[in-house]
This record gives sequence, structure tokens and C-alpha cells, in this order.
Amino acid sequence: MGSVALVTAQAQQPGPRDATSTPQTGTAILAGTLVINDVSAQPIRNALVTLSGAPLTASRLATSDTSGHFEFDDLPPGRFTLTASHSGFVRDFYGSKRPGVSPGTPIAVVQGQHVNVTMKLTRSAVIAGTIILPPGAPRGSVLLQVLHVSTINGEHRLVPAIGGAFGVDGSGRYRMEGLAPDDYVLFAYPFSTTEVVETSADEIQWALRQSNPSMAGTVPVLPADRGPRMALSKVYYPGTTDPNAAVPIAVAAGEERLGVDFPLTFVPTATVSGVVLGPDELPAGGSQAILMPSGSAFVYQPPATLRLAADGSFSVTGVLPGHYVLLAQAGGASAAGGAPVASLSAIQDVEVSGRDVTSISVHLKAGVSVSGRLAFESATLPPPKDLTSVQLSLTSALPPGGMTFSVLPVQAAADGTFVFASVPPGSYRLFAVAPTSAGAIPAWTLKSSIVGGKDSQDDPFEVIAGRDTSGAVVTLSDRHTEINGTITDSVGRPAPELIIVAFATDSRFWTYQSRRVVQARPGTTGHFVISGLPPGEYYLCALTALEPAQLSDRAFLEQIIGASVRISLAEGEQKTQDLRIAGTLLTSGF
Amino acid sequence: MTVPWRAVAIGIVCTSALGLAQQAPASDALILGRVIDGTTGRPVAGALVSISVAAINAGAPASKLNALPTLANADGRFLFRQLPAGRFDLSATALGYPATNRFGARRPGGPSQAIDLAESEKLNNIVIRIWKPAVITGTVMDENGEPLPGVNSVGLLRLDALGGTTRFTVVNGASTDDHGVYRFSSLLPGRYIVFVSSPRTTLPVANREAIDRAMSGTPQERAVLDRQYSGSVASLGPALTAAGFRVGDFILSPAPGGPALGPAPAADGRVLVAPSVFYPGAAIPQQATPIVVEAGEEHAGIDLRVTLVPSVRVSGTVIGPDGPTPHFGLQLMPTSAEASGFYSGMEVADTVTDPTGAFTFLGVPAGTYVVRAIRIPPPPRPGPTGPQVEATGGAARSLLLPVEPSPAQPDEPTLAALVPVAVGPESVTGLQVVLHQGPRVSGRFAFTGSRERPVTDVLTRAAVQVSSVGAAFFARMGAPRFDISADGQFRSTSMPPSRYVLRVSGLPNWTLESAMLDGSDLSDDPFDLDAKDLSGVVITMTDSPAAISGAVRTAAGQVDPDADVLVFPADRTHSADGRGMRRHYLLRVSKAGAFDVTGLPAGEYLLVAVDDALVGDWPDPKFLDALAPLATRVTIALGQRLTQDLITRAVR
Repeated sequence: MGSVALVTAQAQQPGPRDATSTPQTGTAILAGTLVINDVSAQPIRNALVTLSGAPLTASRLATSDTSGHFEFDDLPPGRFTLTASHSGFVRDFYGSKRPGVSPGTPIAVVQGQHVNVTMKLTRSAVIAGTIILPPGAPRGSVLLQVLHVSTINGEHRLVPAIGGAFGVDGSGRYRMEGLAPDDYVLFAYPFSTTEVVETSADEIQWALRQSNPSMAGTVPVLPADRGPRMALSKVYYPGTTDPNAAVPIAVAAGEERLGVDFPLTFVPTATVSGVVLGPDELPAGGSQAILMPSGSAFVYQPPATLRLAADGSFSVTGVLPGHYVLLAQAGGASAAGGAPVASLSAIQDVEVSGRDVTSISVHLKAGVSVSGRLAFESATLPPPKDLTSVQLSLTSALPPGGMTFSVLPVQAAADGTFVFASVPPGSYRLFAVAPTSAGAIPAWTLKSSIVGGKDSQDDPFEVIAGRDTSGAVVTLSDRHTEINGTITDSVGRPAPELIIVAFATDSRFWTYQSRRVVQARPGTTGHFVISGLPPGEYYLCALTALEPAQLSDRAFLEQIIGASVRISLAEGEQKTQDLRIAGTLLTSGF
Repeated sequence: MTVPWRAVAIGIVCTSALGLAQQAPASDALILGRVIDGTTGRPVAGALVSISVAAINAGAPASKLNALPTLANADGRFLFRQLPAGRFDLSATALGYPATNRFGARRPGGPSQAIDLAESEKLNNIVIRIWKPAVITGTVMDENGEPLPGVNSVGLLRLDALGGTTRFTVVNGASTDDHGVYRFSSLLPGRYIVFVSSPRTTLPVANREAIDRAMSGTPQERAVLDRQYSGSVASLGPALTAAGFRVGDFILSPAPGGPALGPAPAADGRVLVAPSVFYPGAAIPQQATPIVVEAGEEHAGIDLRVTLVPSVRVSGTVIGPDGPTPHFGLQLMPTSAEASGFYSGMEVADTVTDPTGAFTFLGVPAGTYVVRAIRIPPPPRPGPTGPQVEATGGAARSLLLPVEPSPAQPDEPTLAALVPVAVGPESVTGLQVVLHQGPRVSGRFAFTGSRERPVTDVLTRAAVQVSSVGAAFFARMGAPRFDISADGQFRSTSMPPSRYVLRVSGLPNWTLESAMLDGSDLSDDPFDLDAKDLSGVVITMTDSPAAISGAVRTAAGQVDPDADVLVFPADRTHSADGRGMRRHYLLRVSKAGAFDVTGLPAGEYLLVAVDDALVGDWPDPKFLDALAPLATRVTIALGQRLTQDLITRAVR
């Protein structure tokens, strides 16, 4: 899938620094031409081009003329991202590695410079068809999502390829436009579950006899109850409820794939019932609960809100077959003006397969407090006067796709102490943010958040029921590390098409969402900046392509070490490290 | 889904002389019926039929019925059994029949009937008619006839004859697909106009900077800005963060979603825009060709062609009570839009005043317009919601908790202005837009009748509502709130100037008799609110309202369940859109042919029963003219209960 560039360290020389504050306008011009990404390379007219970047508070628009030309003038110096869209083409980012997939290559512009670029747009594909609905499908009830496979933490997952869900018309017809060439999985599901029952022939005969006693013939024996409750199922193309059995649809650039029809049917639903118990094993009235389909984290599916009776019992009807997570909490009512507090909470899995699930016991556990204080390490700045403007947050260290309660952020007290009053048990990282004005580089950044002797940014800490956590020390520093440099090819030309990855030499840090494994795109001049890495030893590597998921793929990182440069960063160190591609690109074999 | 205007403008009352049977312990009644296509009469296999408890009277809580929707069998037959006695509504939908068709409707969108079910009754003759909706589809093209994909501002106007004038109501919006094709499906029969508009927003660069400053400032600064903008015309919101074309000191943003119709700055600094086009090529809706659609029809080839033309600027200053007023939202409306009942989608341009109170609309084609300026203080917002479900992978969902109502907001006035402007080939400058405070309505409650007047906490929870009536540029903007004190005094928030009618609900056992001011009834005769407050309104509630009831039979003497009873004032200077708002009723009779209407103001009325399938443009004066000679004249006094039986009349 990708190839790795073997890089060599260049003699260090001061590289250009990006301006930290720039005026809104300037004298630079960024112009370009939009052409079709095929052998014709025809110009594309009337396309919408969007220019954005830190020096601009609002993105600027331009349209391409008949020769595909567009222009942005009066630009301040800085790095800009160019996006272009036109009906029939994939909305794309200048320099993207795959059509429609960000990031692109930022375009660096200096004062007075006239930059000219050529951007290719790929013809988009269309998938259209009909979701074959039963005649009694509740109207307006079906949504469609377009998914594709992504690797997250080493696992293949179906995730939305395009944001949002799409409605189908009254006959079930749909048309998905603007698709990049890719393999897609279509997922149709009911917007809300409406349970229905069928009217059987026996029932009709019985009712006719009831309303017309003189009718001849035998009275059918009536079933004691109506037929099973049913609701529309969730279906992956071509007609399976199992995402692993879904058949991807491969579309090429410009392809119009019509007649992609698949059925949505009624399936039996279940009632899920049980009781929510407090820590004292007594029914917990006044609590709230929600039943989330597993996998909702990746692909939205509507949850069911459970209504809890005063005695803590709940019952929810119309639950489709599948895996669910039940989240319950109590004590959420907020005091006037105060932040809501989830003082009791519980999470458990529920399996549903068309039969009622009864007698679920949900045991709420009490939240505990997490407290600590702020510390400041300053090289040049005095610590902020108003410590209450510092916001602290606890983030769940969940595996991908996991679900839990979020903890609302808190402000520090004037003396720099802070308390999260009621934190559900679980694994967390602790963060702090000092306020910054828009566009400016933050004066204070998080250096460490030590809980139980470890930096929670690297090692999440466990919050255990019944045990408060205290003594956390969150250190903000006015120094932050930076690696900057220029990447060039073997003859010294800038190589902006490459992606730079910096990752810790210590493989313990190669985890999901690690702050020690980061990527950066160089600008058009080949200049790159990686800021805010914790001090330590790192590898720098340049790649021609990178899937975001590969950043947490240990095997992948192992394999690129050989093509990397080692660099060490001290506290607050700003280091320049130029990179040069040595010889040819190596194919990594992924 | 379109909402029949009748549901909005005139009350529809479905009634029965049977009244409510007492809830009996027995629950062995049943309803056996059939779903058929209203056009072909053929059964609709597999249709979904729903049953619910019908509201006995407005505002009464409907008791819950434990009956799931049922799928009809292959013959369109359906059954609900184990039912208690009571009054029920039935409705059906099916694939290809997306509208909800209720039992009793004899034409698409027509009024429905409730079903009264006695204890242990076995009803086996219920027929629910459902209709396929109509479709209008076509292609939007540029001046060269090339299809325009991605046009997201194709609009649909429905034409209604109301009070002798034609009302245009924006009922739907659509986008063109990659072939430039739009499609409006699910349409009720009626007359429609398709149009394409391309509203654009002009934002001064200085405002963007002010917004950025406030967003990184204190919560108080953010709150001030937030109130300024959310109180302004709501459509401005998305534009504030949207990307735009830089034109001098302004950012010009196309309608959210797609700039397929421009605006694009031309080489000479002017802006090319696509003026609104009404099918087939008219500049205003009054000159368009309506498309008349019947149930199930598909009208294809309704194509529109848009052209880009040069435009000019319209600029000026907004002057408020404290002088020039910054961050004030304005819209440029075509004068022709005044005949429209709802303006969203008809505006030509939006903007907001800069920090000095000056404004500029970029991209204005020649035409006659009105600058509409309004800021309605936003209603109180709910407080923070609480613990949330967090999910890694991107799609976090909230677990919403009930929230405490937030404390009352300061009582700020609504500020508004309307300034006409004619735009030719040159830019318009120096326009003064002087804001006026929105007026308030206040007065007191009076009660007439033998009952105890409502206790304080019931009274203070009553809902006084004003609805805007007719066509006006501020129609249907904001929802004024009325505070009612324990002693029965009431006072509204500051309202946009418009034409209104007053209504009261939420007082069990009490019906509005009148809302008098200076000898006119504000609940019956719409009143114009300009800059002046209205005080001293006396709302009289009665516990014995005037009523007319009766039964309808065919000329042959049979009970006629297919009839509508039309009630309208004998004095034909009253019209449903002007005076006499409470004097027009279209009543679907019950299955037993009975009708009943309560709360009529005293006066002379005409009553006529006609087959519902023949009821046309009610309450079009032409239709009423045709009915008047067939009608029965009755006079009703204050609080009088009148019985009047009717015979169904043939009307053409």
C-alpha cells in the first residue's frame, strides 16, 4: 500500500520559521489550474476552490474559469490548504495521497510571492439503486450509510466513508454521488424502530365470524395472541445483518454503478427488561439508562432510551437482534446552575436475538473523586494570574469502539487545585488547557500530568470504585519542543509529496492515540514542523503514503525503523533536522 | 410531507353526536377493515395501518392505546382486536403511498373521521382510502442549456386561493443531482410553482474579526455576540462560519451547500448572480405558470433555465434607539414575495451591519425590493445537558437529561424595520434603515358563566397565542410569549409588527368568547400591530360557548357519512383571511352523519352539507358563492346551543 523513503540526515542548518502572527492580507498571489486527473488533462471550469489556513480567519473561495484557472490575491504569507470541488468529481485536497483523502500538501507562500500550482481532480463515481422495502415499511424510516474498511489499532473496521446518513425516497430509491474510487459497503437501517404485527388469514376469518355470526363454515381457532412483533432490520449490502458478510462494491473513477438493490425486511424484535440497582443492592429509582448498539462508535445507529420506573425497573420494547451496551447512571440531576454529576454509573453488554431478554440486573457503582493541583514550569513567562481559566479534562482511555460516560471538564480553583467530584470507574488520561487567543501559538502547553507516579498522557490511570484519587500534578510549561526542517529529494529539490512520521524509539509508546507517534506534511517548499512532542528519543521517517491507522500498527512501525533517522529531543528543545531522500524509494510491502 | 394549509388557517373539527362512551372494562371490541387505493379502488396489500385514541377535544390528553400498527394481508385486510370502547383514529401508509391517509378522507389531504366503538362492538366495514402522491421533476440548466448539478435551492410554492387572493407558500426544497435533475415527490393534489433562487450572504470582514475576537474572549463577550446573532435572522448563522469569496472589504458566501449558481465576482469587480426564476422563466411568482397536479401524476420535464447577470450593491446604515446599530441582521426580499405566506427561501440576499452600523448587500440584480431588518430576542435556552456517553471512533452520542428551565431572560424589545428600495443598473447607497421597537399586547382576563373561575396556577399556565395572518414581511417570525399574572392580567413580549389574530387555549372547561378592544374582537378580526402597543384587551372566557350541532342525511333520507358541513358567515364581507377568522369551519361529519361545532361568535351563518369529495377550494370566495344559494341560514346568539339537521346538496 505504501512505500517508505530511505532518508539521511542533512547537516543542520537554520530553516525558515513559520510566522507566528500574520496580518489578514498581504501581497502574495496563489494561482492555479484545475485539470481532469486522466490522460486528457482537460481543464475543469466552474469548480469551486477553497483556500484555508491559519493566516485566514475565514476560508476564501474562488471559481475556475473556462481554462480551469483560479486565483487568490492579496494573501498574507503562510501555509495554505487548497480544496477543490465540482459536481462529477471527487472533492479533493491539493497534494492528497488518494483522491478525496486528507491531508493534502500545504502550500507555503512568502510575502509578495506568486505561486502557481496545478491540481488534478478525479472523476467521481455514483452508486445508485433501490432498497427493496416491504409494502408496510413505515414511511420516511430508512437511512443509508456508505462505509469503507479502515484499520484501527490493527483491526479492520467498517467506518463511514462519507459523513452522515442519507435518506431514501418514498420508493426506497437512492443515489450516492461524488464517491472517490474505493470499495464501499452499503448499510441501511431504520431511522427509528416502529414495531408492527401481521394480520393473519385465520384472524380475518375469525373476525368475520365474530362480526357476522350467521356466516357459514367452521370458526377458526384464534391464536391467543397476535403474531410476533417485528420491525425493519439493519442490513448490509447485499442483504446480511452481519457486517463481516457484507459484500463491498468496488467503483472506479467516473463509474456509474446502477441497480445496486438490496432488501430491508421485517425481523422479530425483543423486549429487554430488568432492574437498576444501587451500590446497596436496592432498586435505584431516578436513574437513567440507554441501550446503544455495539459498533455505534464507528457507524451511528439509533440508541434506545430506557424509561426507568421509581423502583428501578426498566423495559424497552422493539429491540432489534444484535449486540448492545447498556449504560446506566444516576444522580445526574444538576443543582441550579451547577454542572451535572453522574455519581453512580454502570456499563454492561446485552445480547439480543429476537427473543425477550428479561431479568437483567444493572449494578450501579459510585463515582469517586480525582483531585490534584496545577504546576508551572516557566522559562520566560510569569505563570498566568488567573488560574481559574485553566480547564482540566479527563478522557477515557478506551479501546477503539468502546463506550463509556464522559466526564465534564472542570476549571482549576484560584489556588491551582482542581477536583473532579464524581468520576465513574475506568481508565483515564488527564489533560489541561490554558486559554489562547485564536490563531496564536499557545503560551502554556501541557508538559506532564502525573497521577500515581506516572504520566497519564502515556500511561492511563485506573479509577477504581470506592477509592478516591488525589495528588495528581499537572504541569504546564511555556517551552515546547519543535522539530523543523526541509525534506528534499536526492538532487536537492523539495519533496513536499512525502509524509513525515515521528515516533518514539521506545515501542511501549506505540499505542492507539499516542502523543509520541505523530505525522506531519511538509509545505510546497519541503519545510515541515512537528511541535509539542515530549522530550525523548524519536525516529523520523518519510513515507509516500500513510493510513492513519498505521500510526498505531506496531508491525508497521517496526518495519519503517530501518528507513528512519534517529533524533533526540531535550526539554523545550527546538531542533532543525533536514531530510534528504537517499536514492530510490523502497516499497514497504504493505 | 406537506401540511394542508387548512390545518394551519382554519379549524377542522371532526365530531360525533355519540360522545365518548365510558371506558368499559371489556376489551373485546374489534375493527376489521380494508385498505384500498382511493383512485383505483383496488386493495393495497401489506399496507401499514395504525390506530390511536382520538382526542375528544383539543388539549385533552389522549389516553394510550396498547395496539401496535398492523400489516394488512394480501387482500388489504387488517384487524385490530381486544379493543376497549372509545373513539379512535385509523390511518394507513404503504410503499408508494407515503402520505399518512386517515380513515374518512375521501380525497387526498381531505378531512378525516374518527371511529366510535361501543363496548364489545364488532365493526367490519371500515375502508381506508389511500392515494399515491404526485411528482414534479425536471432539469435545471444554465443559459446554454447545460444541466446544472448541485443546485440546492430549487423551491416549490403551492398556490392557495384564500380570501379572494392567491397565496404562495414555500412547501418544499430540493437539490439537483449530478445530472441537474430535481424531484419533488410526495405532493398532494394542487397547484404548484417550481422556482430556483440563489440567496447569498455578505459579511463585512470587520465582523469576522469581531467574531473571532469575541470567540476567544470572555464568556460575557461571547454571550453578547451570541445574542446579537441568534436574535438576528436565523439564516445568517451558517454564513458566519462559511467560506466566501473575498470582494473588497466583504466576504460573499453562496447559499449554504453549493454555489452552482454563483455568485462569482466578475473581472470588473462586479458580482455575477443568478436572479430567481419561476417556472417556466418568470421573474416573479405572480407571472409563473402553475402546474396543476392530481393524485399519482408525475409531471416530468418541468425544466428551468437560469442565467448569470451582473449585479450592483445596496448599502446604507441601520439606526436603532441608540444610534447606528452594529451586528444587525438584514434581508433583501423581492417586493413580489409579500404575497407569499412564508418567506424562507425567497430572500435575495442577507447581510449584517458592520461595527459602525453600516451595511452592504453585494450581488443585487435589478428589481424592486424591501430591506427587512429584524432582531427578535432569542427565547430562553435550556441549561447545560448532562453526563454524556462518550464513544471512541468518532461518533459520540449524548445521553440527554432533563434540564432545569433557565432563569428568565432580560425583557429586551424586538427591533424591526422595512424599507422599500428600487434597484436599477446603478448601486444604491445611503439607505437609512430606522429601527422601531416591536409593540406589545396587554390586557386582562374575564370569565362569564356559572363555574368557579380557574385557580391561579391553572390560569397562569393558560396559553395566549397570536398567529400572524395573511401576507406581510414579518409574518411568522418569532413566537411572542405572554406572561399571565395571578390576577388575570397578561402582557406579551415585544412582537414583530404584523397582522395577527389572538387565540387562547389550555384552560379546561373554558372556551374563548371574545378578545375585545375598542369594540372589535381580536380573536375574530385580525389586527395590525405597527409600532404602537395594544393595551386594555379584555379576553372573555365562557363555560357555555355557542354551538351548532346536527345530523346530515342524503336527499333520499339516508344517514350520509360522506358529507362535509361547511359553516361560514352570512355576511360575505367576512372572509377567512380577514374579518371572521373564527366563523369559517369545514367539518367532516362522523360515521353517523353527525356534526358539532363549538365556540362560534354570535351572528348569522350559512350552513351547507356537500359530499367531501366535491369540496374544492374551501374557503375560496368563488366556491362559497356557489354554495351560498344552497345553504341554510341560522342565527346564533351568545352562548346559544342550536340544533340544525341538513340534507346533502349537490354542488358543481
